[in-house]
Amino acid sequence: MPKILVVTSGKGGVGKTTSTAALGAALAQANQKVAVVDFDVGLRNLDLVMGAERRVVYDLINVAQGDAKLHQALIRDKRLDNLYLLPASQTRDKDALTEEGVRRVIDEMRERFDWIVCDSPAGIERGATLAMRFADVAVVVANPEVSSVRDSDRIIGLLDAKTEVAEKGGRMEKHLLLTRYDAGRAARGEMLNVDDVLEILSIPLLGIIPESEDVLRASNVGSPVTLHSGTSAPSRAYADAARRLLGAEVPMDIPSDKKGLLVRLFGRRAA
Amino acid sequence: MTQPSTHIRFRGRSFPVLALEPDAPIAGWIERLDACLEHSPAFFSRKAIVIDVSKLGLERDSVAELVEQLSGRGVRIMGLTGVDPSWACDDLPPILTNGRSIASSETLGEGGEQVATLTPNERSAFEEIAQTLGGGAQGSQEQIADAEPERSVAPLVVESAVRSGQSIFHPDGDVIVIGSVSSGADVIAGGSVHVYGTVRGRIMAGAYGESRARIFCRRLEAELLAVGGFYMTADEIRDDVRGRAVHARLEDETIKITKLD
Repeated sequence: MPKILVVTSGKGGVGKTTSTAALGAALAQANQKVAVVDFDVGLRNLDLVMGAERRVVYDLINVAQGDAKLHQALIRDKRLDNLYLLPASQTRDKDALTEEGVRRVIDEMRERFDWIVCDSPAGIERGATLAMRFADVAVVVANPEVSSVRDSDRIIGLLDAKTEVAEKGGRMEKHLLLTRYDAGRAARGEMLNVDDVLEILSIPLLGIIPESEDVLRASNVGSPVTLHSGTSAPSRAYADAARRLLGAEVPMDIPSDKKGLLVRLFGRRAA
Repeated sequence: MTQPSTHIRFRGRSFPVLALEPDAPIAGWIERLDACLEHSPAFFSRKAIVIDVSKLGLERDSVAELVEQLSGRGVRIMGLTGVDPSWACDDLPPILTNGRSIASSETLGEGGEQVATLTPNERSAFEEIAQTLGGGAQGSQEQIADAEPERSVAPLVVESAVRSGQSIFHPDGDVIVIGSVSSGADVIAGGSVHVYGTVRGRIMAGAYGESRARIFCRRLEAELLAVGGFYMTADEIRDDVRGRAVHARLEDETIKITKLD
């Protein structure tokens, strides 16, 4: 049963595209057949982070409007042959996407992939609502700061109201991915800590990605961080998160100032 | 009087409406209204409004002019109160006394003329209407009470968190939230509001002016609390009640917050 996963946040710049690429690659490394889809029409970035920007011919809009076939638009990753990218159009705007068009593309992709990872644009407008529309799993990306957490809260409300799963009376599976977490700053009270964020959002925690230069370095060379530096802290955190998405029980490490103190948090559900 | 052969159904019901009370001088009041409308142009859209002119002592023509001015500003007037019921006519909205409508002669047909000449006393008017509608029985206080029994309104129970951007609106009664109310969310109730979680958003109890409404919550981190139209922002909430289980009520037109434990 293929899974449609939306990576979303409300706020921009929190790491949706980075997380889409990293989770997509990590799922592919776990032998899943994966497609990552860029829904940020007009401001496409996922092709850059995936290192596929020089091979884009057709895009999501072309396929949604029937101007190109799905297989013509999909770009196979050079490093992993079970990882594909469906890029967004840079020259169109989000109004070019229609619900019917997106539904057709997603339905066609269901036949070919185990995971379809949709990279949502920031905001709560058309692009973002269409990216989540047909999803059955959501990864809500948040930074440990108040504006990001409030926007994520808004997005969780929309996931429970505006998606097809929710409208049919079903339950959207939601996970929190806390990115750019700096243990030192959280300890000094300059950032929200993990408990604060979980208390406010009250959805299960999928992973905590520590703030790291490795993430930026990987983006700049056009590689998902999980493929670029497999042993770095963020890379391991993404790989663990991907394993949790696949149903494995992996203990959760909260990045901490104090060396050796690993707090086991897996399975916790904030009230 | 003969009983009509086809039956239509009448029921006495009460609805919450907003009553606008213009004050003198009218020109100045209209100016202030315009200033308000500039801030929130949609305030009156889709709301049923009653105009209460009891404080003005206006002539019929001036009232008609006021109604025209308000209609021109998108205020949807469902009734007039505080005027002489004998004015009832098509160019004015239905006239209400103490919340009940005095029918105009048009709607009542032949018998209606009697009504128009009645004293403004609401009860005798009601008796006459009851007779005209074919009841035949002499109206009494008991019958009036029968016509409009006290309604008990079911509370609205929200069995999840109220997320940022969501708005819960229950004009008729209490709202009970089993979960938290997030920052950027609103809960608006005609009655009291109970939140069995943390309040980080805005809570408005007694939204139609019910000053006995209260707000209860397990943990107070609210952006705004309002009771009966009086409000308090986060800045005004004292530190010693912040983060605590509290209840809030209106006392001498200020919101008073008390710890529950």
